[in-house]
Amino acid sequence: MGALDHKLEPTVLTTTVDRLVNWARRSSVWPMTFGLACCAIEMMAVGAAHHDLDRFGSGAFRATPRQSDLMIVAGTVSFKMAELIKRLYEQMPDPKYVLAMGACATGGGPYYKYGYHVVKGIDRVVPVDVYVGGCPPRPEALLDGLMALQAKIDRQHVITKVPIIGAAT
Amino acid sequence: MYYDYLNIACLAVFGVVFVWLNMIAGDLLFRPHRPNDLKLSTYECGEEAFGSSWIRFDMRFYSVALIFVVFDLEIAFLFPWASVYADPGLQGIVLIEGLVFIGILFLGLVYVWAKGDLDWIKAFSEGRAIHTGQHPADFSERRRALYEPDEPSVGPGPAEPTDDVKPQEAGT
Repeated sequence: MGALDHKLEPTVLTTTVDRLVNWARRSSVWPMTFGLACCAIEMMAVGAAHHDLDRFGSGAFRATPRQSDLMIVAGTVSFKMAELIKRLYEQMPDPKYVLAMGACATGGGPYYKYGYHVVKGIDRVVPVDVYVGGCPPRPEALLDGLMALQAKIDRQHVITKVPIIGAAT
Repeated sequence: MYYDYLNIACLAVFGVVFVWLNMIAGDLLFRPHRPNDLKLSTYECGEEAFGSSWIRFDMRFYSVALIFVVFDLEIAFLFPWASVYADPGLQGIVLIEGLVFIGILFLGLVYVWAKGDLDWIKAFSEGRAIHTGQHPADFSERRRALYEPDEPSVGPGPAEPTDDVKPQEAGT
C-alpha cells in the first residue's frame, strides 16, 4: 500500500504478501480425519451438506497428517490417546493449527473431577489455537471456531517476523 | 492452420512454467522449513512404527489379481459391446465377435481352474492342487504334518522349561 494505491484499479490489484499468503492459507485449512468421541459426530455434521464446511475451503479431511493444516481434537482425550495426539501433531507440517472442540478437549469436561483416565484439557499436550465450548458443540459453534481460526491466520506475518502476542505459531 | 496448434503449444508452455515458477517461489519464500526427528518419523496412525515394511507376500495374490483383471476387463468391454449390439444392422457379426471374445477369456478361466488357482486354500503340493475331500479351511492335515512328525526327532530335544520361563497356561 503506497503511491500506487487505488491508482490502477480495477485493471491492477495491489496487495501485500502477507495478505496474499494469509488469504491462501485461510482458504484451505484442511483438517485431519480424526475424531475421538461424540464431538466427532458433530464434526461430521459440519462436513456434511447441511452445514457445508466446504464453504470455508476446509471440507477436505485428509487421512494423513502430512497433508493437514488443522487438527480438530473432537472429543474426550484419554491419557493413552494423548501420546498419539502428540505424535500426530508433531508429524503435521508447519504451519499447523489445533482446535480444541468441546468441553472434554478444552478442559476435561464432565470428567474433570473423577475422570482418572482423561487429560484435563488437550492444551497440556499440544498448543491450542482455538477453543470451542459445548458438550458437544453445535455445528454452528465449530464453524464459529473455524472462522476464529481464519481471523487468527489473517493476523499472521509471513516475511516480516513481527511477533504476535499470544500466537501459538 | 498450424498457427492454431502453435497457440496451444504456447499456452501449454506458459501454463507449465507459470505453475512451476509459482511453486518454486512459494517454496523459497513462504514455506516454513522446520524438520525434526519426530516430524519425519513414519506415519502409522499415531502409533510408533516398529519392524520392517518388507514382508513376505503370498504369491497367490498375484494370480488372483490377474484373474480379477481379466474378468474386470471383460465386464468393461462388454458394456460398449452391448451398446453396439443394439444396432439392428450389425447384430450378427457383433454377436460372433462377442462370443469369440468371451470364448477366449473362457479358455483362460478353464486354464486357471485346471491349474487350481481358483482354490484359495491349497493343500500341500508341488504346484498343483490336491483335492483331499476335506473342507478347504480345515488345517488339521497341515497341522499334523507340521507339528506331529511321524519319526522322533534326532539329536537333543527341546530344552526343558526352567522355572523362570514357564509356558503360560491357557486362560490366564
